[in-house]
Amino acid sequence: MNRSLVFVDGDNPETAADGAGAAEVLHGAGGQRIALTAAADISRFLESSFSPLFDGVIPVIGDPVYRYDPGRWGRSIAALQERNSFDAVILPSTWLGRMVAPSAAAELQVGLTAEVTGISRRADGRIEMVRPAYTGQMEVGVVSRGEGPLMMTVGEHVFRDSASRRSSGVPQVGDAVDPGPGEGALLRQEGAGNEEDIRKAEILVGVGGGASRSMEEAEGLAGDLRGMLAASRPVVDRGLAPRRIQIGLSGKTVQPTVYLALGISGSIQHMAGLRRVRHIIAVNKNRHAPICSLADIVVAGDSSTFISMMRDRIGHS
Amino acid sequence: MKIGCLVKIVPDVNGFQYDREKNVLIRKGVPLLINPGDTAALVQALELKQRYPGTVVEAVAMAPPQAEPHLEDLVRRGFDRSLMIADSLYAGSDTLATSRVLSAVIRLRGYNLLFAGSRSSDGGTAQVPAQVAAGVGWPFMAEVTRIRPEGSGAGMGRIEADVEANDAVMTFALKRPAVLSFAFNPKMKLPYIRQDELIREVSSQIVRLSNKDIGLAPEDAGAAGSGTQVASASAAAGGRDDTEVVGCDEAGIERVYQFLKDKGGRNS
Repeated sequence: MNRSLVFVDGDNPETAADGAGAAEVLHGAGGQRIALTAAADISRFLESSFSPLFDGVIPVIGDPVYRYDPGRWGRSIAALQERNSFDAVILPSTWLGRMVAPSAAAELQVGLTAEVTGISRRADGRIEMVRPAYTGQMEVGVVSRGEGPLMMTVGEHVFRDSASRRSSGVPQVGDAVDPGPGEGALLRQEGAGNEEDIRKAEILVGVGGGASRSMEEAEGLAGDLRGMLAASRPVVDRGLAPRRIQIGLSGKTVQPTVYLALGISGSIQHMAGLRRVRHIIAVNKNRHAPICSLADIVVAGDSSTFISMMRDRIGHS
Repeated sequence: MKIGCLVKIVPDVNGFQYDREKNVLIRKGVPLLINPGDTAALVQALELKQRYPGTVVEAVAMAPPQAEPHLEDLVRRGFDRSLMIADSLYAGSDTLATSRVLSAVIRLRGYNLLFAGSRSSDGGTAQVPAQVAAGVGWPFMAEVTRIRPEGSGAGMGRIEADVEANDAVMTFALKRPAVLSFAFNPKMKLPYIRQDELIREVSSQIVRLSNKDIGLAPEDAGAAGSGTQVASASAAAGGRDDTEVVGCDEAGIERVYQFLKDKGGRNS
């Protein structure tokens, strides 16, 4: 029987369902799935809606100040691999997952494929994992070489619906792991305040490079629509928008009813964050921009003009 | 203090064109540049050099000979040395094999801190800094926005680092030596090269290293030592065929307005 270890990011625990889904795509419903979580999060995990997707859960004990120490997690995964010989180790493509995965892969000296958005089996039987490259201009298919578990980080929501409930419904809690003290301690944490999360928005107005000079007006349009403002990675990287409203593989996966994409070309990384969007309206001077191929409606034109005309129309309604 | 700074010389991805008929990326003639994501790390290293006299900063790159002018430029901008690592044995290295090479070099240099960018514009896996940290046995933190060598959490051989993640700002204290990869910061720019530096001979400050100096076994290097292999590449897949195209005019705006009204998205 194939066995997978799925790392649970305590700050984004729902992404465990993505890992469970990836494991099922890899090994089918018959594979065994074990979650790895901080001991302090065990109760919350067992009470969650996604715990029935797992056969077991292993707690890692230790001082909470080290919960973000990737080396400590990496050593835990390596120790568990030594004991259990997992066929796959799957982590979420969150900030923590993206640190822990390479640490663990280096401890195990195995290949790692990051931000996987697709899994398939090749004619030669090997698993091919698809991921974006060249700032999202392309997709590459990657295969693992050598011995050891298949290791990957998976994008949010990519495989979330692929996992079936385990027959027991309740994962068995395994023996705890204690990798000892860490070397990177959390001193303090300051929250982002009361800003709303774009993941909860029904309407999103996304600003890309082609509309970056109209941020303020775009925010006004978002307000008119009772929605929220979001941004592509290039806009955030230029310091024009905060990272908490970035959509994409290294940002957030959103699920609004309508996404209004202003001047966004639609890199693979950005579109990976739109997997759950129901309707897309793309405003772009380039009718052949990648995002236009996903849109219900393409408005061929300038974003600034569109915003102005749209706000006038709403104002007259 | 001695600081190493990993740097990657990458093709300018904005210059790429995709041949959809042959399903290949045309990279010929595309210029090389310093990975934009590494700028924050390079700038932070130079700032520490300026703040703490006597600090030595070195750039470390696994790079082909064509990249040498960029490494010379880093010396002209203030780096004490640029290490250029190249060997035909390393061809086809994935991040695991690359990290083995870099870890071996880092162990020899006596750094107190190793900086890196969080992500490269070509592969973009964001894996190498963490794998190097594991390879040398140092603590690691990614997406660092700010460091404080003398912050309240520092001292006793630690460094304080801020990270923006999970919609929060978290402050960590890491034991030194440590590896820190920095978040992309568009406001950080490398210093200009002074006029007198432009013509200065700097080749003696380029340290060229090959596998003769590093000593990796052939099975641990290059394609043979890699844990992954790229098997296919393609442009993004096509989308739907029922997309409606409208102009940015009265009729188009009205169509969008009615669509939003129908889907429940307008202000009513």
